[in-house]
Amino acid sequence: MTAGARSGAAPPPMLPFKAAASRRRRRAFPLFASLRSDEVLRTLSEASEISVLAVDGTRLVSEATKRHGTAPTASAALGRALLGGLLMSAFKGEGEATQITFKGTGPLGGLQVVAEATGAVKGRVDNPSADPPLRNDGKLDVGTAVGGGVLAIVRSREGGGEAYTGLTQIVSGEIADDLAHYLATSEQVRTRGESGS
Amino acid sequence: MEREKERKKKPRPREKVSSKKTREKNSLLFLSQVNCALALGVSLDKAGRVQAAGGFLVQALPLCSEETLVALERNISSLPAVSSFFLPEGDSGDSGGVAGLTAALLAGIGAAPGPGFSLSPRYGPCEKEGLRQRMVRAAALLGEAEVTAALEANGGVMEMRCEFCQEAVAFEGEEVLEAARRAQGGKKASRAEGEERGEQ
Repeated sequence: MTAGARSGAAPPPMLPFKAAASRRRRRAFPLFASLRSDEVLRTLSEASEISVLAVDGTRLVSEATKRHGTAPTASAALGRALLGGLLMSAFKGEGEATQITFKGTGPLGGLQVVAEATGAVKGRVDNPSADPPLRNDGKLDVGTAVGGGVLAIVRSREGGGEAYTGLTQIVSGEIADDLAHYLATSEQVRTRGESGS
Repeated sequence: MEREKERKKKPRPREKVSSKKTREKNSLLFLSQVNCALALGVSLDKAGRVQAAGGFLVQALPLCSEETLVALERNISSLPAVSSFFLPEGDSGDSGGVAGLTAALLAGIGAAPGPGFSLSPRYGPCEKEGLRQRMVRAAALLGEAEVTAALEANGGVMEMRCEFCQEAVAFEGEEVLEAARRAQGGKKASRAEGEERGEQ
């Protein structure tokens, strides 16, 4: 009966290759992921007083968390570090790369990100399954996952030139705070940091 | 349910200031140094999947007026969670993307005409060919004895996984062994050269 019904049903319309591929992509990713692509946008204010660098890295972070099979807290930590690396290295000189290493004492272990001026960024965590209990306010406890320790940032240029290495203490483990602290203390760029997940 | 975390941190001015109140008030007002604001947000859904991820880095350029800094600080303080700009349309977010976020940051200040500079970030690069070469070099550094032992333990195949992209590449024994021998040969030759120079 079922077989008969099946054979009687009209076959699905043939799609051109591109349309079929697009349909497969839409099935693989949530709907919103197919609507917008990742982007880093640099804008100057009207009087050239302010420079704004904004990044949408939803698909990039999603890909990273899938590749590493990270638990929620590890996903947030890795995602923030990837975004931070992107913002710190995008639109820098040709061949310049920024390497961010959190040598934390928390369950996440080490967290490393390498970002290039072209917008290519990759990262890894020692323990992708690190997922400490939620904080009292119900938020992911990235600070505990990273723990205390040292943040090392290396800025290097392809094909020579001495790499600039900066070391600072991890202040909260919330990534943005630590990068802001690094910019303020090591590169002497006064920064206000804010993290959310 | 989206898990949203927002944590605001007071800036750490390098100048010595007399009171906490002054420090807060002047968080972005010192013109002697470059001032920045950095925000990063990753929003996950109930299943732990990434729903939205984004951030911004705002930098006050030299000769930025005090009025602009005050307006910028006001805009930053009134921003919702940064990841809300990248949430899917129809969700609770602003869904304005990078353009919406930039507009919110520069509200009342104004953006320079033109589309700005943009680039498409991507995860990587760990191109397969380059990865293969790097892996062979890394394996060669283990030395012939260790490579041989590893090959024997794994049935003549060595599999290596890139820690960044998690791609696994399998190598036939001879390819890795050859590289290890070459590396060892190079080391011996340079050692002998050094000894010769020492004798001279």
